Amino acid sequence: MRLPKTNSFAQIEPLLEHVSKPARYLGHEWGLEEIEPEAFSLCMVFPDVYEIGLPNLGVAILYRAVNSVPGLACERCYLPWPDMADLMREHDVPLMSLENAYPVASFDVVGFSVAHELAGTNVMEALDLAHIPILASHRAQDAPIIIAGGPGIWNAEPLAPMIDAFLLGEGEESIVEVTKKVKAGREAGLSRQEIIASLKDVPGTYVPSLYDYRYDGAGTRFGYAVPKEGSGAPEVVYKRVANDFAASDATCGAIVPAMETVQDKLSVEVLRGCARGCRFCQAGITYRPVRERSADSVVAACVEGLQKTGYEEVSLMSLSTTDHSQCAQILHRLNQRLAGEGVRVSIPSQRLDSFGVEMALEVAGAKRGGLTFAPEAGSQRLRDIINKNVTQEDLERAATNAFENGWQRMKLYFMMGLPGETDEDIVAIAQLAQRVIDIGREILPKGRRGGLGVTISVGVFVPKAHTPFQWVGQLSQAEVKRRQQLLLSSVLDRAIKVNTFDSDAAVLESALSKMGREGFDLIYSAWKRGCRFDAWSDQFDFEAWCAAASACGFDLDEIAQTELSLDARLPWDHTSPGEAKGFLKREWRRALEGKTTQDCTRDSCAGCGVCPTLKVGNSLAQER
Amino acid sequence: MEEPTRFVLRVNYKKTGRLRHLGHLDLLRALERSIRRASLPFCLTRGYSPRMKCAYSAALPVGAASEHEYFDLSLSSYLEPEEALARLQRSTPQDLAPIAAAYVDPRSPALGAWLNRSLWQLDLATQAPARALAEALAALAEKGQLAYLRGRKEKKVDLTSTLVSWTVEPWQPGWLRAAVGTRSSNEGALRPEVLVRAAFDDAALAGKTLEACHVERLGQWHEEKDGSLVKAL
Repeated sequence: MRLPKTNSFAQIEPLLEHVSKPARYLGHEWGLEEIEPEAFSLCMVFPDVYEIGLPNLGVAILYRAVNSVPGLACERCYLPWPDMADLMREHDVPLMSLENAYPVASFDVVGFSVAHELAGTNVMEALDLAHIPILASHRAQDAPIIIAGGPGIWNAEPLAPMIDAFLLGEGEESIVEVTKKVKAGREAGLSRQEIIASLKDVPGTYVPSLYDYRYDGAGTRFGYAVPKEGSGAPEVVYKRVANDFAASDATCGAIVPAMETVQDKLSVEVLRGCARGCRFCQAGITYRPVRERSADSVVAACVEGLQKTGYEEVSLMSLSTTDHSQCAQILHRLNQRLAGEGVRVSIPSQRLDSFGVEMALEVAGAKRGGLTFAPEAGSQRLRDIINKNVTQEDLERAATNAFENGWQRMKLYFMMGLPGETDEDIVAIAQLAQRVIDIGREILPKGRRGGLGVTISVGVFVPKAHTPFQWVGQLSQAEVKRRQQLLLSSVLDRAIKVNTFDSDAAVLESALSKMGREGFDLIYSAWKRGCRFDAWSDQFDFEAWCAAASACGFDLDEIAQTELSLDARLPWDHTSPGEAKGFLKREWRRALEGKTTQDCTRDSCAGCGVCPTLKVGNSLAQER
Repeated sequence: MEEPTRFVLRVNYKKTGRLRHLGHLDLLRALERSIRRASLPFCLTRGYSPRMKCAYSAALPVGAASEHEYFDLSLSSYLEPEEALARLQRSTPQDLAPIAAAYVDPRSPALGAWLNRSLWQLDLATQAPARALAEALAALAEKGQLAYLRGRKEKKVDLTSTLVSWTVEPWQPGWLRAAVGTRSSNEGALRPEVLVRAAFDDAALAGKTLEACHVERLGQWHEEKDGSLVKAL
């Protein structure tokens, strides 16, 4: 029997005084949608804490999309922090929604927004706290239908045994269609299995139970999925692309929390997709095509959104905001419009060239904090391999421009372990930082040179599904450590600070990015050992993960380092963002030859295949 | 340039429902955003990060409810108080709804220190008899000083100045209702729940526990030198 929809806040309230940040569990924020009582209901679960999940633009868009449909209702739930989760178990308090404090298990549909590969244990934690069986095959007929989507499901198989249906790509339309389909199925008295199977007819929906998972010569050792005979499921499920992005409502991030969140500001999505074609970047493939809102609609959305929310800051969100064809105009108009209101405009990152600095200047006001750039690789040769179309000159001009305009500090992001990387490329990272410092010393007046500083942050490269580097093995931990030492010993200037990261989490991320359905056993075994909040470095327990892996007969390092065959079927080939595999192979070969590929929003079509396959196209506000 | 503060609007608001569990900084953030949504002509401070000029009455303990909280908002132009209140009511979450608003002298002293007297009501789930608790409170008052732990930090509060009055009565079955009057100063303030919990350590209440404690602030006033109380609004 499904749990009844009763307000259960009184159960969690006595626990509030015993946990950190009780504001996480209060709800009652400003800007909530009107929730229709008695409606067919979906609970959107973000499997991380409130302050991470609340600002998530995807959740905000879906929340509004569902609530705007008569007869449907959407509430939210965020995963309680371990202190609260433990107390809830101790006192037998079920996971509940924020709005009406209904038990999550009392909803008709429960949707997980999966942000990254390390969220698996948190999905299990949420299901378990909700008293919903973790395995899809163990759920009762009337249990909620469990769906999932988001950027973390492009290798869906490690999560597949606990998800009834995955929504690939942009969900604002498909989540409504899927919820309506479940409603129709319930009303028609269909069985749970029939309802779940019927979801395959909603474009962009992958129903794992309709696929056999095979381990044979056609695939890699991590297997591949094929439709079950007679299931009618497609060989490849292609992602959804929302209809007419530019015309959609741009003021979605409208729930205003009382507690501080990681993005404590209004978010306005100015464009979707990025076609720069960096070969390591999954988002660069999975969010295509490129679509821009017009300057008029962005400015109007910012002004209206600030008024409706009362936020003090608006962030122009996208994968690459300074690539918007009307970026300068947007920032200029916003600055004029918002002058004297004590409101700031921000852009998430700067393009690495002079234009990027000019845009940073537009939003900086009187402040000169730090500027952040991502050259990703130290040498031109390696930047060409990864198709980061940025030259030494671009960087030098950006640095010059920044120092001339009053900045003294810069942060540079790099990756280590990129394909084709040599010791010279590592040394080049240090040289690049040194060049920036030298430019700063030339430009800054003597009195201000003391504040001059460059921080270089070096993450470990993780090969991701649906990228030209998806076949690559990760660098071994020992080699990462050696190269980190090499970098540290190559940095000679005290104005340069080096941040390197522990590679443990990158090893796990890499393993989970490669594994097939067997990855579920690993995640489950880790969760059973107490793993949760794995994306939090203070919670991440690599030893527990290694123990879980060996209990399942896996070796995380070995899996992470495995190279996949170019010709084999991959565990994620059947869930596609629309790119042609031939394009990825071509890009991989061009990478090996050090040949770059142009951005199709500025140059001719690069043949990625997304537009013809999904019957979509780039749509810019004006020429770039 | 700092805008001149020409008008100070004093607003009485509540902190109730789920949002009474908000910490003070979260509360201030929520209120400032309500004020922005209401499009009131608020003044900004000067500097790199201009902030809204708004002063608040002293923090309510997290979890305590109240319909007697106040803020003083500096405005650069005049707006009918009824209109300002209506706009604030439309733009504030129910749990923090504004109740009344009126202009006060722009040179009024800072609210936090000026409102130095409070009356509290505590609903206590306990099997302890009312008289025993009242006597334990009297014994504490007699000692004149209360030492307690806040986190790991030992704190001391002088009861001769901060504890003004107390009564304890039976309420519903299994519950007592206490009323505690407090006075705050630069030296400190007394949290009524701390006082009551300390009373449960008294030998006369041995074996009795405090299962739950619901705190509500029933009023805040300014106390004049002669002991008379002045209303905030």
